[in-house]
Amino acid sequence: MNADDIWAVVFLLGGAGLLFLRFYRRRTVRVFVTDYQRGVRFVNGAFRDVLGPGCYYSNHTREQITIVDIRPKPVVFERIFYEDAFHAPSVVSFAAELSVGDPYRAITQLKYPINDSIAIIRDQLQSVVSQSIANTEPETRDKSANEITAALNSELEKLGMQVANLEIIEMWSGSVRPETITGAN
Amino acid sequence: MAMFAIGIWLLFLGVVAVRVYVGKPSYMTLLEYQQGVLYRKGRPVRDLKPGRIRVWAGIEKVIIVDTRAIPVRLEDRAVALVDGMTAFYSLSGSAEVQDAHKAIYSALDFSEVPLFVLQCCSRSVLNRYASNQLVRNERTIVEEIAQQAKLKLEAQGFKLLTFRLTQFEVDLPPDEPDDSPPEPDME
Repeated sequence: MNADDIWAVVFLLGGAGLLFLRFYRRRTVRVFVTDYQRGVRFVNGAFRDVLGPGCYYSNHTREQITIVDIRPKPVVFERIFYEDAFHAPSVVSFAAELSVGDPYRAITQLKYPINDSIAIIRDQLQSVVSQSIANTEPETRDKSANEITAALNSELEKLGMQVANLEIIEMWSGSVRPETITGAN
Repeated sequence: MAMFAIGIWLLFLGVVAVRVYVGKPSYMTLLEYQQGVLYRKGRPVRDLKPGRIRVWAGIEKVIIVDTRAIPVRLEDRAVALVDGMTAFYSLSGSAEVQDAHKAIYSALDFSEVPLFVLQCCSRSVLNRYASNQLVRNERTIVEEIAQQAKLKLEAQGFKLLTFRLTQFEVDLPPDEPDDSPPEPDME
């Protein structure tokens, strides 16, 4: 094989490679998934897998990748009026961080995972606190918050969502008489 | 001559392969009120300060954070006090991003964090006091709210710039539901 033959082979192989890349790249897009995101990949409409952080080539004619942000959304539920287990009028406010726990479930169960979850959480909070006795003592707030978090997450798990760092930021109950409170007058 | 042409051709193919699989070098500029984090293949590599940055478009990405002050305003809020009274308050303040890396991971939209923190701190602090305590020690309580908010914001990469209660008054206890039967009409 002389130099001309080598030249011809290299030229033809290179040209074929360029042509292949040209037609292949027309169908692929590069998807960038950061570490605070996940990519839910569907192939021909069926769920394939959840992509972690990295760069991926996606053939958009048969693959669909939905990017899901898993960072928390801070939410405040202000002034929820309810009657506790003793039918005492009470008011409570919560602060929590809502995030995606299971990306696949979140995007297949809810059209707007965050906004739709907020409405569900508000309803659940009302029913959870109504089943307990309102306790305004600061020491019991952490315990109550943990119980409420567990109750909420058991419902939200079905939707691929979760709450964390739930905090009771306001609590008042009509069962507590003002005269018995330390510091009043 | 043929070998030279082969070499040039191979070099050309190499450049094309790098462009396709690695990306092409590009430049971007962060302005003085911006910070950034450089991601390579999805993982954070380093924090970026204002200036010109080279990025391999294809495998690298820069997430830009605006570090200008974020104004916060909350109006006409009510909070139940320990003695059954209700306090009405409004607040205003501002915060800025100090650590872009922490701010990016703090929330889905980091600009919501200052409002969230101030809202939580003000409500939780005011709820711990009785009405007479609030009236006597308003200044101290505002400082307590600001201090609590400052610590929480610093943990998430923010710096509290200003905070004040623009409106503050105490009112009667929240109305209890009226269960008494309605009075009959007198005719």
